[in-house]
Amino acid sequence: MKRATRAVVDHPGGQRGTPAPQGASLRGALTELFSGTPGRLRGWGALVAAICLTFGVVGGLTSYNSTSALERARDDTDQVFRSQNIYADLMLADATAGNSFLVAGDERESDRRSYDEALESASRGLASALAAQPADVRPLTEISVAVTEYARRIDYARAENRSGLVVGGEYQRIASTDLRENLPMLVDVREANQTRAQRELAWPGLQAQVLLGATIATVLLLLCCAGWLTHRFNRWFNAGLLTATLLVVLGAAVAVPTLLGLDDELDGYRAGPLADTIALSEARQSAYSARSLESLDLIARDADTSNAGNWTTAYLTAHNALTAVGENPATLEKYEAQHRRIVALDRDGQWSAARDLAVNDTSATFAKLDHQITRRLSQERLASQRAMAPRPILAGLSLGLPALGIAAAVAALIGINHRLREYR
Amino acid sequence: MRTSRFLTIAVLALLAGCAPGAVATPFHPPASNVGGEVVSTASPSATTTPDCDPRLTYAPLPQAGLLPAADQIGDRTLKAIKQRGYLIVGVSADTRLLGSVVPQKQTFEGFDIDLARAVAQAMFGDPNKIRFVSISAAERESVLEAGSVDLVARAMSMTCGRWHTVAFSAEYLTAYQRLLVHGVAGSTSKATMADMAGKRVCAPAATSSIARLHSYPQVIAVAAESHTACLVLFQENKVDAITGDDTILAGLAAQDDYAVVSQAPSIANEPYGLAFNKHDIELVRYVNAVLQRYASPDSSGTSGWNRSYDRWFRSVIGDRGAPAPIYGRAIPAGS
Repeated sequence: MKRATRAVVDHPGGQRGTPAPQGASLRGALTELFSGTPGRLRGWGALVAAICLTFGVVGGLTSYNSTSALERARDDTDQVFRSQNIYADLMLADATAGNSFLVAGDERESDRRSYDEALESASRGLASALAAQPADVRPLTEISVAVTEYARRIDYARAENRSGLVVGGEYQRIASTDLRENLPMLVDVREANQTRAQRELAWPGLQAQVLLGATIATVLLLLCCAGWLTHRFNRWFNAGLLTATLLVVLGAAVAVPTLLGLDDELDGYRAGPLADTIALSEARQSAYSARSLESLDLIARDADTSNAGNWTTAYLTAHNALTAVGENPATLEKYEAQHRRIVALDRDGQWSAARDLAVNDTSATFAKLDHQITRRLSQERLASQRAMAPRPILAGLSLGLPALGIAAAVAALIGINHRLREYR
Repeated sequence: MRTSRFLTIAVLALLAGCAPGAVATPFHPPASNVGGEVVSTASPSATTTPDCDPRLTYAPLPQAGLLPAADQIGDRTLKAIKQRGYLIVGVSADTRLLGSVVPQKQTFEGFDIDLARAVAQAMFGDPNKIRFVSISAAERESVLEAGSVDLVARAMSMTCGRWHTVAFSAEYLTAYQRLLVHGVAGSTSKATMADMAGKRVCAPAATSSIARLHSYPQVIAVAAESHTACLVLFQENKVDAITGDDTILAGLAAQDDYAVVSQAPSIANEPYGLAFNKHDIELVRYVNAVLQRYASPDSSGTSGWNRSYDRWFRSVIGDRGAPAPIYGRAIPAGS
């Protein structure tokens, strides 16, 4: 390479004479180190090495953080599903207990088993949920207490009912009402975790932007350095800087599309399997809630139709949720027709016929509805597991990008050192 | 993971903005009403007025025979009942001994139920031409005003205040307001309201019992939906006692071996009357005639009233006779 023809003025640093204080001597040494053309070359070298290393660190962290965000999102969505399962289990238990109360001592063994299993599943779910997310401890603890109280009251209700004591109906009503009053806390848990999950799921996109910004800043600085060298040394080409630039661009060319692709994928997951799972769970719990309210009305044998409005709300919530995910609501609509018939029979004074319909016919309808929803839920859960699975490429980038950053820094320093040697 | 996030924040603060954090889930515990609602004792509610006898009712019809054909009935309400073919009666489904559902049979039974069946028997010659509608104590007046039942047979105390919104039959049973307290079945309690100072005493909302609790400011009055709801609170030790009519308290004690009705002098007398829409005066007079006959000995030498009382109450609250009716309430002009 040709040496620069342009006049270069050196500015030897440090004045000789009386010894300078230690601070002044250090400042003087630094001034000497970075003064004049060699000093500026050293300065550029430090700067491009630093920016290349920064690119490597940023690249590594964005990849690593995307992996971590994915893990956290998986934990949060698991908590969303857990809270919804607990809700559905409790509603299933309440609907079964209410339905069984109507036949007192003639309770079917399968119904009792179903109640026990649902309550046990809810308790296990609560234990898992409590262990999984410290931020949810207060509401989940409160719900655990409510579930214990609910189970106790239902046992009383059942025992009193079997003895023919009317106080059993009051225990059943209070148990169900108290449980329902506590369930909004479970909705809070679901919503809080859904919000957390959605925030985590947005991270890969944000990380892609950060990495793109870091790439642009690094490349611009490398180009500035190359421009300065061209200007100073009249050399158009510096292999080290070019290599560093290519390494940075190469790393970004792999990492940014990977992160953006992941972001797209997660967007699809949020709008698809995650939203569908939430809607399906809501449909399931609302349908059971409607059935439980129906039993409460039959138990109360009351002219007061205070549960009618709540029943309609629960039914419509279930119906809207099912149709929103493209599920056929025919079975749910069949239950609605049965419910209307039950209400009509009850109002017509045919309580026993209404009770028989509620205990027998709707049980079959609900078995079918539950099968329909849980089958689809299983599919969505599989899709969820796939979407939340670890991405090996992110692990590779977490290590690869810092390595590329180091390599780029070394290449850039070699390129600048080459000029420094030429200058000397 | 946290260290990594911290580093990222430190390095990328300007580029990435704020990082997510695990904010505590909102905590909104419910304001449960299961423990009953403590009600103010500041405003006593008068149930009688000095110059009013709540037991005073309309004179009975000369006779209470089977309802004739609908086109021969002048009164609109009686005509509608005849056309319908059955009587609709608002009753309690959970007041044992007065009106409750037998879980095993899913039928209503109790003293009030027997009385309502006697009215159906008189109207149609069949005690089963009747439909019972379960109502809460708080609904007694509203269902009559709405016309969704023909009459209410649900331990309803006749008060002067209630005469403004409903009409009553002749008194059919006298109850005495007492206390239900903790005690082994068979034991005797003499607990009084004075003993309840600073304690929580439950009574159903919108009843004369809870209104009367206001006269005892030292007592913490707790309102629940029904007497049975009070019993749940009592069994869960959330209230110390229940106050109400001894006829109702006896039904609660029958469901709990650790509850007894205090034998202390009663707090008040409660005359029970069947309640009607205030405009159904002809129906009231018809039923008063039925009640007159129901309380009179028949061919067996005893009355329907006595047979029913013996079945439901004699062993738990002792002997009591059918109250003497007081007739002579002026029929409002235009009725």
